[in-house]
Amino acid sequence: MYRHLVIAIVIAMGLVACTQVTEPAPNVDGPTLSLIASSDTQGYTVDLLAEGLITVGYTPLYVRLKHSGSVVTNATVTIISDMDMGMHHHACPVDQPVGTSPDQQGYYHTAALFTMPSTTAWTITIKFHDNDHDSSGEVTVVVPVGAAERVRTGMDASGMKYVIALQCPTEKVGLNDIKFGLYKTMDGFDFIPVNDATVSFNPSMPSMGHGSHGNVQPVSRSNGWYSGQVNYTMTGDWQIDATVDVPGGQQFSVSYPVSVK
Amino acid sequence: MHVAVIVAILMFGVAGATAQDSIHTYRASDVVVHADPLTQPWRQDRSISTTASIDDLMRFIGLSLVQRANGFAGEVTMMGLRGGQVSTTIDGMKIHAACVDKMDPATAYVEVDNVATMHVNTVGSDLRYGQQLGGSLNFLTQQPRYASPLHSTLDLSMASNAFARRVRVDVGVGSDDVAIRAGYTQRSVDNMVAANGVELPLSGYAKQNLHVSAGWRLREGGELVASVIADHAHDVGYPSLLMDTRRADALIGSVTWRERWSQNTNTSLKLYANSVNHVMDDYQRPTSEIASRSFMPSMYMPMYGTTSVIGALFESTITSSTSVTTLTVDATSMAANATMDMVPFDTSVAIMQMTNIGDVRVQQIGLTGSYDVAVNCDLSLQATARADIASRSVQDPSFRSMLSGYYPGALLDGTKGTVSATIGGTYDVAEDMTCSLTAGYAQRMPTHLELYGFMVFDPQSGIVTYGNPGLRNESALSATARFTYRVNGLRITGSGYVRMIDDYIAPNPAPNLFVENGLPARSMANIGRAVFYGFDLSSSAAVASWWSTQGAIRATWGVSERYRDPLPFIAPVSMTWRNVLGTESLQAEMTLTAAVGQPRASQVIQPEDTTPSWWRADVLVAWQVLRYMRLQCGMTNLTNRLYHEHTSINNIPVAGRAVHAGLRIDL
Repeated sequence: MYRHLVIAIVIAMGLVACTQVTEPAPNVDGPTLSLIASSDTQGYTVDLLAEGLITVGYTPLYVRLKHSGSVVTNATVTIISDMDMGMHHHACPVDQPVGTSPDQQGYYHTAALFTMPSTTAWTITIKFHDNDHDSSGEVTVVVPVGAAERVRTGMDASGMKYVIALQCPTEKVGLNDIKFGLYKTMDGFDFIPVNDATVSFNPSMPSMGHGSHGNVQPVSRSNGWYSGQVNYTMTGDWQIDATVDVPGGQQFSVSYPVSVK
Repeated sequence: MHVAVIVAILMFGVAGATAQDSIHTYRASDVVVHADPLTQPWRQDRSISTTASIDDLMRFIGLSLVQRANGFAGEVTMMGLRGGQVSTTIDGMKIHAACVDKMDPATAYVEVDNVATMHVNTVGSDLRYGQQLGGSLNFLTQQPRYASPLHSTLDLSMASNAFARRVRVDVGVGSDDVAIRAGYTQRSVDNMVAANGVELPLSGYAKQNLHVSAGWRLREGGELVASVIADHAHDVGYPSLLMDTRRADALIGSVTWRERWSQNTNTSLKLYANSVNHVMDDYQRPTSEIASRSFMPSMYMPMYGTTSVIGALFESTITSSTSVTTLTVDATSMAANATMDMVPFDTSVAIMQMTNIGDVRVQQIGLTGSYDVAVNCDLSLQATARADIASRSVQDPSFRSMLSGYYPGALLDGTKGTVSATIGGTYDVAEDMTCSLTAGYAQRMPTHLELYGFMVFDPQSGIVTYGNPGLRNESALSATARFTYRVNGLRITGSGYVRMIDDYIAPNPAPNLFVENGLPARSMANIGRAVFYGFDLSSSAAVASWWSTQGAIRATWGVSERYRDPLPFIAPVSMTWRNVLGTESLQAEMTLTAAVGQPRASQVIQPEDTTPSWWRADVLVAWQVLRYMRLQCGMTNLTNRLYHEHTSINNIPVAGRAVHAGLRIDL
């Protein structure tokens, strides 16, 4: 009798454990997210989050929709960037969420490649359509963007502008993944990924007068991104000198300072 | 009386006293570089004083030293072999330098007073304590004496040049079952003055060394001996390098169990551990020098290095009426780290840090067997073989990552093995004449610095070198012929050798793989075959009961077959002539040393310059005033010759004339 009671308690505890999860659990292995902005519209709460403070460069963003306190898990989400420079506006390249389902934590993954810093001028408009409730909405939030030297621009003879972004997920001694994002635009609002350019780079330490070896030159992956590896031999101030050969024979040379810890 | 001696020692210690050495008897196994030249019985085992260090003791027996400082921490070369090609041990223990710039060879942590015997082997047949390609050097330290009343020695000396001071004290006592000995040496040396009167800045140093050993006789034929060496050096100037040693600390400890199982069988088991911490910097260098140097100008660059070793050494000897069989098992585990900070003068530039050796671990075990047999009364044969296996790994993930970028696909971790064997015979051609021939094949693994050392600057050739994890073992074929002629107090010994080393390891001169800051940079590489050959001829004679004389001449040549380039750091033909006059109570010693010019300078492998010929004379007088007191004085570089040795990095000159004096009291 006593044995049956124990078994019943264990089963009951298991049932409770299985039914308690009503919202995605925090992902302990994922990045720590900070809430950038939150806005309500038509019974929906739209949260925009990022991995810490946002700075110039490629920035992963996370959108979470809640309806009546519950996370929306079937929605179409798009974002639109805009910078109000007073006399005119422009946008920046963005990555739209893929699919209609968020991740286990309820976040739709998106990204923006902010091209300049500003505490008030950048906005992100988030449009959504809740497929379960067949309702749509949009919110616009201000996104403060801090300074960082991760984006350079260039222009070819035809007036085509290019945005060349550097992304280093880690900046440590040793081999590090390094990515270059390349987009072209005519009007400053539509950014087209350039996948058929040639990107090369050379790391150096200006204060030491040397570079490093064992770097892997980037190759085109997709969506305008080129991936390689950079070998930092010591901590300190490094400089990445990149050369971009775009179709048509135009070449840009850009530099990015990097601080290796 | 002993108390008085100790008090006096302490007083001198506080005052920073220093230098005076004792030249100990050294015993050579097999063919030696150079035996004790003096045949007078009273000359043997006699401690005399000069103002010398362990470096001078090594020079005394004919070894060449690559010199980077003023008479301190010279790197041994034997017949052109150096570094990992030579086995250098202390009581059979391996000690690895912590400095990637070779500022602290193992010999830097031995004080001449603590050395009882120095075993030198130049034919490659002594494989007991490590792999080597033809040379081994093992210092046997002083041991405690059983059944010995309390005894002590106070030894004080100083020299005029560089105001070298040294104080040394030995205290020992032993009962029938327990014995202890402690030796302490403190030395201080100011800036050296060359023969042209120019003071060499940053050429002084200070050093303290304590050696304590204790023995416990377990039973007849069995004992335990524990030994600790604590060595501390600080502010060691390296005028030929970019930096100076700020401090270097070594702690070397061992416990040895010796057992005589029977009249014919002895064993010894030693467990040991040692650690070396080395800190160097250029903070004492003028900013103008730092700003104008070619390598990393306008920044300070303190460097930190550590190595630690734990090891076990088992030796067994079985003797019969006609043979000696020995078995040695030698196991070690080594860890090494070296980092470097770069502190720019421009404070707006971030401080940088680089790893030169990133937590490299090497575990190694070697098995050696040797067999000596007297075939008949005229002929004896010797055979020795050693096999090693070692695993190596790089533990620092950042260093691993960086190195894998420099050598894509190279295995940073791995296991290597080596085998070595020698065979030799000694034949008594006549009653006065003995001939011997030794031939051998030897392998050695690359050192951890050759494998992994990252961005190491060679100040002589101005080359930045990079270790190469893909290096193969060096292997050598060698042959040595030797004769000894002895008659009526005259002894003449001669030897000649040839050695071919395949896969010789050196900075790769072929393609300059990397260029750093405008300086040529090279990775270490196996650069084909290197050939060495040379001879050693020495004689000694007891001219009269009060006069013995000895002379020696030796030479080594080395060339890289691939590059047709003389190999670097090979001393030219050199000679020594020494005379000892007098009796046991009053002796005089006069020494002439000379070297011909060295026109064969490496131009490709590690560029160096030629060296002119030189000679020098030294005199020493020792007077046994009382049974327990001896006075000595002398003069080194008597004629004040301005010269430098070929193996002196950046041609640092030898110290000019110096008068030295010393007092030794044995109680």
